[in-house]
Amino acid sequence: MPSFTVAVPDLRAIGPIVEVRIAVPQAVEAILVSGGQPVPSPVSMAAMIDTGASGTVIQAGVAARLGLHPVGVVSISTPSSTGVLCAQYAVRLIFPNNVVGEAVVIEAPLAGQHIQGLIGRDVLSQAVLVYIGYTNQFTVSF
Amino acid sequence: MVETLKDELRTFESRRDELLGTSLGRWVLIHDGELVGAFETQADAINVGFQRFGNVPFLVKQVVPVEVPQDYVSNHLGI
Repeated sequence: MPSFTVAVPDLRAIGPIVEVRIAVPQAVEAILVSGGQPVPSPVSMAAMIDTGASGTVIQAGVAARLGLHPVGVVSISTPSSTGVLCAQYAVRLIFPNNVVGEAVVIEAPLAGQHIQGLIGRDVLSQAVLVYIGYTNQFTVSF
Repeated sequence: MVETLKDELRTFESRRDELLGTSLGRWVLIHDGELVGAFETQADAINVGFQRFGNVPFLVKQVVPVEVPQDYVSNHLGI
């Protein structure tokens, strides 16, 4: 079972943060390659595993850096707003240990945060999350 | 934020009642304001969108009577 384990200095203070690379999905990569166009390099970001997020989020602007266009629109609710429409993008998520998956994520501003993404319950629905607080590490298996 | 897909969203809304009768629970693909088809999964619809139209904007949306918003309980999002 593909998995990765992350150890952080203070899991309680920092949270379950993982370095993830965001890449174009396989279907787009195939289109670019067949058209002789360059495939954009993946964008690295610090993302928090967030069981309070129903969907995965990437920082606003990342999709444009990858040359991606929206494939959907979804309404979201946060503690301070309801019914906000956000664009969705198909992306490839590359976790440590080269654990790779595809997902449809929303793009939203995460300005002022120490993270640039959220890994939500859509991705976690395919995974086992082991959170070991007293050793400051967590593991995600797919 | 979703200005790009406003024509597609308008098409979806205008045909929602019809789609609820014919494609309940399925994922529709709409491009350039035209309904392309309804598919079993979101991934199927997206893949067909890429195959037929390339790396361009298109709308894939599930046909449901009431759309439940995605929820974010923390204050990470600047929305």
